[in-house]
Amino acid sequence: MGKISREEIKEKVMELVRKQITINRVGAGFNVDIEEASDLYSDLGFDSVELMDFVAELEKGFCIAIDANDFLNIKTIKQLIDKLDSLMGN
Amino acid sequence: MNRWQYPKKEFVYVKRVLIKQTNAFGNVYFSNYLEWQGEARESLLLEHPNYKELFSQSNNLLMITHSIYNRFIKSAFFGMHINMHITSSLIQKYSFVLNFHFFDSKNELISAGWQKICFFDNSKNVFIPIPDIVLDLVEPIKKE
Repeated sequence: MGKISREEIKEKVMELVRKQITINRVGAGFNVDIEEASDLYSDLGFDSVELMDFVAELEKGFCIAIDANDFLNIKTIKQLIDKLDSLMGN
Repeated sequence: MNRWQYPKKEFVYVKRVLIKQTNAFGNVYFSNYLEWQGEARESLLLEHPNYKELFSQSNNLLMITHSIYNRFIKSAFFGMHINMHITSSLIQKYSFVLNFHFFDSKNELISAGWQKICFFDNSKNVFIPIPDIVLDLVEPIKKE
């Protein structure tokens, strides 16, 4: 994957988060506004195994290898985008 | 060498309702459906010729029920045969979902639910990808 801007990373992350939180809340329905300030755990309902699945989807979505342990301290969408931005060499 | 895979598109597990599974009103008491989900899940795992590898004490593997849900549509009573149809969905790297549909002998839906399952390595304290033995069972029964 070629160099992509932070804005493109953000758009892709939002799309993957929306997909993942639907999966996270199987059958229950889950409607939430996602912003950069959104907390993955308290706002979006992620837990540890869901984060692992999400990191696997990020790897596929961005075609990069990610060490899931690097993401254990990430709490917000903004931190996630910034981390990916740095991993993509921006 | 081809890997063994479950040969059908869904797994069917049959229960017959016993008196001890009914409540004061004669209906099947709700908690039995959760117990039957567990029984059906184990029966599915036993279908794999190498199922013992999954439960070997030496591999430090824990199968975790992350979440479970069941809804109740029609009453069931003592003596009824209940056919549980199991399919899978939302198969990701670290977790998958099993879907349970309970039918009576007239093929009417009486209950439905799901479980989300993941796996943990107790020795390393980390979640691990779904083991191949489990994928052999859940991929063929994935609901399209």
